[in-house]
Amino acid sequence: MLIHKGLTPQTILLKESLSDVNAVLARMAAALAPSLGLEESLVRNAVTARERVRSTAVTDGSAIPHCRLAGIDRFGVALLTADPPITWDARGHLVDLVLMIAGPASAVSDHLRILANASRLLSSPTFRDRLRSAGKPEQVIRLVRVAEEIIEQQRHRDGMLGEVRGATGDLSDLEAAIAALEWP
Amino acid sequence: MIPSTSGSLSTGSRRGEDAAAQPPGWDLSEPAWRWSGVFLLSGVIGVLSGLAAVALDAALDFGAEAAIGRLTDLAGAAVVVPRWPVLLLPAVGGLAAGALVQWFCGGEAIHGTNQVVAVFHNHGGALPLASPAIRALAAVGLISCGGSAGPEGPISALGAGIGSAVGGRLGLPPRLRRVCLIAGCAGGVGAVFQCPLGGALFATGIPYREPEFEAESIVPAFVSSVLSYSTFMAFRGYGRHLILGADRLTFSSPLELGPYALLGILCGGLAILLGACVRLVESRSAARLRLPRWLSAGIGGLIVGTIACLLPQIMDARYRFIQAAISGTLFEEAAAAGRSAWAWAAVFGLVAVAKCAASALTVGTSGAGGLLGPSVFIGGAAGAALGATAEAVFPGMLTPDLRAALTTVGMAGVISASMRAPLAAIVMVTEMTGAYGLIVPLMLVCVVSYVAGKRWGLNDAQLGSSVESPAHAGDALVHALRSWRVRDLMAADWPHVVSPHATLGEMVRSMPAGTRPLFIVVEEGRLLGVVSLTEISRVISEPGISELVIAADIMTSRHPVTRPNDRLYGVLDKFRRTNDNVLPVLAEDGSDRYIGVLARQTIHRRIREHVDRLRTHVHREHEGLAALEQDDQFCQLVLGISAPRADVVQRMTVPAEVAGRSIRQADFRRRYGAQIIAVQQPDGTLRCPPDIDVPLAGDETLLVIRS
Repeated sequence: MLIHKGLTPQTILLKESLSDVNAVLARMAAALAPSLGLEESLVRNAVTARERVRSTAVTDGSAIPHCRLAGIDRFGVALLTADPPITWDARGHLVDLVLMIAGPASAVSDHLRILANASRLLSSPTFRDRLRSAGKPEQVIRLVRVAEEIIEQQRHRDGMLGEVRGATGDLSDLEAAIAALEWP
Repeated sequence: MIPSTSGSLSTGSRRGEDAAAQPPGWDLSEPAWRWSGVFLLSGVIGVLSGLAAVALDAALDFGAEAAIGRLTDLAGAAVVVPRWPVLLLPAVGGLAAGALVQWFCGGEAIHGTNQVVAVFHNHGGALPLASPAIRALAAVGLISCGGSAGPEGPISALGAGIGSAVGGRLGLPPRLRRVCLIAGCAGGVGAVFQCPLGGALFATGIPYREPEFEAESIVPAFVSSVLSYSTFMAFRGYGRHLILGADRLTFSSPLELGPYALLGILCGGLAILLGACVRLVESRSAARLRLPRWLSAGIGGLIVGTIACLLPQIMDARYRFIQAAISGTLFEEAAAAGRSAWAWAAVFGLVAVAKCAASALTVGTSGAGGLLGPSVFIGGAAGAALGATAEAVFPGMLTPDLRAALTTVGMAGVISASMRAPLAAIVMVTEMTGAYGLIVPLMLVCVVSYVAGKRWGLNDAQLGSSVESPAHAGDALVHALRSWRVRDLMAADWPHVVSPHATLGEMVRSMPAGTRPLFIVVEEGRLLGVVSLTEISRVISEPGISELVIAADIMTSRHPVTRPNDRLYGVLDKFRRTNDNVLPVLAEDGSDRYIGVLARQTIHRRIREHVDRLRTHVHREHEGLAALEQDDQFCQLVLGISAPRADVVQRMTVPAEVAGRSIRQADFRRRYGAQIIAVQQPDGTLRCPPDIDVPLAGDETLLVIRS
């Protein structure tokens, strides 16, 4: 499962002005739940509960709230850019890029893979900049698709060696491709 | 299984789920509650087998009355009654039955009980229901048209097919599916012969040439046979035996043992003759003529019709002729016509011999019908022939009751040898006739006949004993695994127990290099789930993810668990369903309380220790076997694994077409049906596990598992 396949124009929320993390999670859950055929409260409660256990803020203004849910058979992804940034957790992380992921309870492997892709994408400064500048959902979907394909190619190329030597976090290919991307 | 949740954290009773996941071992040491499932399953098989027997028996009654029964008196004393319909009808039946078998069963000529035995040993108890069902239908048509075959073998095979189908539908492993097969067979025999105990003994003993029983199948066979018999009798009527008038007969003098011993020898000889005829037809005539099944069955039927014009009694599949001999009506009818004892001896003797040839022609050419019923008939006719001969030589020496007893006891004699089932034969005939007073002569006749004729028994698929059967390969090890409990091997100090809040990074850092241990996720002593990094190893070392992901995010709650009192044999099936090397062990009280793990490695070590102990015992008992000490097969010998198998792990050189390419590029597994587990360098060092992206060199050696 890949991130861009779970994104839809309805689950992409750009330049939202929200008060706090709870409002962000509620807004994204409301956008995501219909695509999974679930109640908004179910998604919101699951990601909120997970967030209480440990913050999902990662780096340089981004967060990846996520959960696994019983009763669904596909992944749903929502993306939100906040303007202004909000304080995400008790450690004071300021976040303006949020990628929410909800997947089936049984799909552990895919869940981890999609989280790994999300983490890798959001660690790219160029990707984050392009995301912040996106004005339309279609632009976001294209950006994510192109970037994710590069990550997958790199993972496939590295194969088992990537595991043995530890992934290097080499983002040069990704950075170059994203920088060259033109908005539709 | 741990209850399924959203990755977080609910609990519930697991005892019921464990019981469903782990089929009972079906041995008598299992606790009583485990047997409820066995009783239910065997009961269902028994009822279905009984219903099948009712349907086929009724169809046979109708068919026989409507066809051959209209043309001639099968229970009468008359001989040499040539009539065109009698000559031709068996050929018509043969053509139809042969066509059915050829088109729907692949044309294989195998009679009912032999088919069951072959499936038991060689096909994991998997008998497709269509084959015995079609053969049973063909048998009904064949017998209705006067073919010399019995419905009992097909009905027993149909029962076995039902049992196998039920076991297959439930997804039972081969070991338990064989038990279902035997239970169904017992149901079929128990119903159609009206002998529940005999049916169970027959079905559990039929796989072997020597007197040995399938211990694991005995209880299911008994339950199935009881239910099948009860179902059958509910439709056919309780309160009467299959053969009437024999329940008054008794063994009353040691002098009677002489004639009975002679009868045993005679029955053994006839069993040999029957076996020889069947093999002659099956293996020589049919093969040499190279005719399609339907045509050879038609020709066979024509010959049977010719014989029947001389001796119509050979077409009797319902024991009416034997019944008339036992009850005496046959002799009263013929006495009026002035037939002498010598003439009777000749008639009975000829009928017995002709029945051997006719049955071989019918069953051997058509592939339908059974030889179980003809064996009963031939034995009865042999007993009657001996009685008549004695009467001719020494008039008045044998009482009419003793002559009837010889006929009754003879019914068991041929089965004993031809089916190689002496104990079952004794019980079957006792139940069929109610002749409990004839147990002693039955024992003598069956044992003598068995010893004399067992070598030429009818079921070629039978094996000498369970030691030779693939069904019992590794029994010594299986027995040990069944006797060991999880509590004997579990470890309470598994180092990879984590809280649900532990990060992926913490887990990865705690792993010894090169390992992928199973992490057990526990909170307040309760098992929440497990994290297996084997399946997700590709991404666990990616940057950024190690602090983002916690154990609760990636744990699975659908993972097999075990409990201290579980038997190791059943637990192995749980290991089979997971790639992980350990199973969490929960408290015996049915709660979610985590108390330790059971590791594959511990089981392997225990097995090695067990084998070493057995090896010591074997050397102590059989010094000569020390000569085999260095052989690879010695461990198999010690374990009782008799069926030789090619090694699964093999060495192979790197094929030229993949040299220079990686395992992934070469798509090795798909291309060669083998998985590489290690690559040996020219200097002897091993790369294990192999890197699937490193090109293979032509001078390397591959260690592969053939799949």
